[in-house]
Amino acid sequence: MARHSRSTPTRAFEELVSENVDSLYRTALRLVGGRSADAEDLLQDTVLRAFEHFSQLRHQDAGRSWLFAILVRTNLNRIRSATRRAEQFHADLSDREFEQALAAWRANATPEEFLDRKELAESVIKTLDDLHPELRAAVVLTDVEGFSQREAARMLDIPEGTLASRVFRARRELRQALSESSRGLRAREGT
Amino acid sequence: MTAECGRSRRLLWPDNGPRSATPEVIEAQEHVEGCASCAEFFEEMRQLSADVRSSVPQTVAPFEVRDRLFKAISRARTETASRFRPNAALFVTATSAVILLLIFGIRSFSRDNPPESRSLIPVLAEEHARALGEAGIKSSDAKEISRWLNGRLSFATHVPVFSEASLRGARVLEVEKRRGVLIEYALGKVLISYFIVADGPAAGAASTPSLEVTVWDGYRVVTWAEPGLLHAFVGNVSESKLRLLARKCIEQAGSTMAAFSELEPVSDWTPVN
Repeated sequence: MARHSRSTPTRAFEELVSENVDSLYRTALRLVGGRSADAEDLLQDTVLRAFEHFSQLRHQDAGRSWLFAILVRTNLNRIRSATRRAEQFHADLSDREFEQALAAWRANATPEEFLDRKELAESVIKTLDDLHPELRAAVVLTDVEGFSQREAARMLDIPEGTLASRVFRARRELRQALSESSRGLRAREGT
Repeated sequence: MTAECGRSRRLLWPDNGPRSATPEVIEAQEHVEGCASCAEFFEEMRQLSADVRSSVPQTVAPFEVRDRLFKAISRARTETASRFRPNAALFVTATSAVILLLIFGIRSFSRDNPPESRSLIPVLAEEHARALGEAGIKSSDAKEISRWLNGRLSFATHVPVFSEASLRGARVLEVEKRRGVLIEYALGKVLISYFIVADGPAAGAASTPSLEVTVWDGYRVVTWAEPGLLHAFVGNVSESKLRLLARKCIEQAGSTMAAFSELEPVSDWTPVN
């Protein structure tokens, strides 16, 4: 992570945004289900909020994760505002439930054996876009943007165990969707 | 497949980074070494993670998006700068206003409504939008919530009870390096958050609080101050309902004033290793 110019806070802020604008836009795009206009709106809202609070960022090495934290929280706040908490995310697993779900996992034939690269990517993107926003944010931050689960948990303001169970559930849904895609493909080939 | 598999998989969950070699972690590692099913599980997790990473296109922000974004930053910068560079006429007007306010005893108003309180409003609105979460208590019993809060805060807290709103729970929070509490109520189907946040030293005599109403992110926010504490009701209901709750709250709290002591500041946003 580059250190940013200390000449003026504004300059440093613009450098920080400039370095991260692509990954922020990409993440925004995934968080809003691929709608580019919404992604731009979310990105702009995020960056303006970050600009307003930039003076509070004392450790500039943490600038990237700070921007992503604002992005995911802004998105979740928008969703919660829209639903007015009517659909709170009550489904987080306790440690015991998480262990039961992990133990119930059965090995499967990997979808790569049945889907080509393009089909796999399309299925993954579609499943990501269909995930619950809380699961989607967890998996996009960790699997796509490469943040550690500790960093992602902090960004989403949830315990690490909760983050782990959300990533697991996202992957479980993903596998389910990929299995259905490959079954569908095999059925078509069989007819 | 056993319960041991589930426990080991949770303890050795991939990507959690370095973990302490506690006896239970060592036990889990020994289990996984001898369990083909767990080995397959971890391999499949790695493969799914790789599938996700490789499937998401490495999109770059289009030029027009970048252009509009940096123009927006530029506008924000200009607006910020203009707020701090008043012209001469504005300066004279502002100076006169300050003198007049001083003459009419605004000092008392300022003590009860410190300007920092305003900066908390966006944070409070954001906190309002979040769920109660694991760090709190879910209960409709004011006494139970009071007991739970006892020891978690460095100021005395009164949990108000309203005939028109039902108590749902509470959680402790950090707002801009200040410790506070959010007490949640349901007014019909609408949720209302009542915040009490440590806000500066408790010195100063208490006077009748004055209510201030703001709208932020679609939520109405009613705030008032007492020495050492900021109070706020946040919710998507009418101003009159929020004011009513605030007035009842003030009446119930009576002369409860802050027994406030200095708090440890929360750590700044630092990189996570």
